[in-house]
Amino acid sequence: MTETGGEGYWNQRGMARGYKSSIYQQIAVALYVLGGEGGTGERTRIVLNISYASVRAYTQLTINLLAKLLPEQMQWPRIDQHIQHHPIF
Amino acid sequence: MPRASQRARALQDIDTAIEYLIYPDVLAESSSEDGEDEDVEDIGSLEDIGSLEDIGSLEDFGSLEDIGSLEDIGSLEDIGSLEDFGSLEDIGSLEDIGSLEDIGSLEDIGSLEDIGSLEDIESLLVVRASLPYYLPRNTSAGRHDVDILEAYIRQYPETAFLALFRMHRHSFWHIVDY
Repeated sequence: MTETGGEGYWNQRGMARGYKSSIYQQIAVALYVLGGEGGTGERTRIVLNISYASVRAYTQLTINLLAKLLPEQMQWPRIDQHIQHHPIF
Repeated sequence: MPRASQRARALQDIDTAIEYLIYPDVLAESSSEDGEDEDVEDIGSLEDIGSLEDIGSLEDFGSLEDIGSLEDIGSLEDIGSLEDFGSLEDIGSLEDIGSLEDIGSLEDIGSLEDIGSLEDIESLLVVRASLPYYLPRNTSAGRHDVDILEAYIRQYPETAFLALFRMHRHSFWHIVDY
């Protein structure tokens, strides 16, 4: 995911400072959240000792990249599927 | 104070505790000159009390610490007079019950404690095995010297990694480099 994301995709701010937020750490946070081990984002923040916004950002970055990598297995719903499951919308 | 020395000291303390649990009689003999032979005196005071209830509770507790606390409670004045419990004839003579020396010799109690504290030794060994994964959590938010995420990724065993991140380590590094 380092090569796929390319230069400037991942959160660079913490990496520039030299702590937390290496790419593998961002991926690990996302996996931790997606695995359901951490519960809420707030709980994950406390357990991993990082900020809440970082938890959200790393998860979102990883999900977006995975959706780009594996469009067959993982994709956002098309508009007709969305209407089918949410008829009010 | 560096963390390594604290850990070394904790390991040494655990070693000492395990030695005391495994070789209590040897260590008691070595330190008997220091007046730590008080347990024998505790049993002597038990002989002075000599009531049936005390012997029964001694069998129930079966540990040296409990005998020590029994000595604190159990002066004859605190318990009450012997007539309150029942006359000495009702209880029976001490020799009929079984001599107190047979029940309460220090070696018997020591071996009993050995049997009872095997789980303690096991738990101590578990604690020692898990010390490398101990991370102090008495930190406030924003402290970055306690890197829990890094420890999860690098130091924790494979099973913990599997439970936390739902994949094996080599798969994780594979997708990181992908």
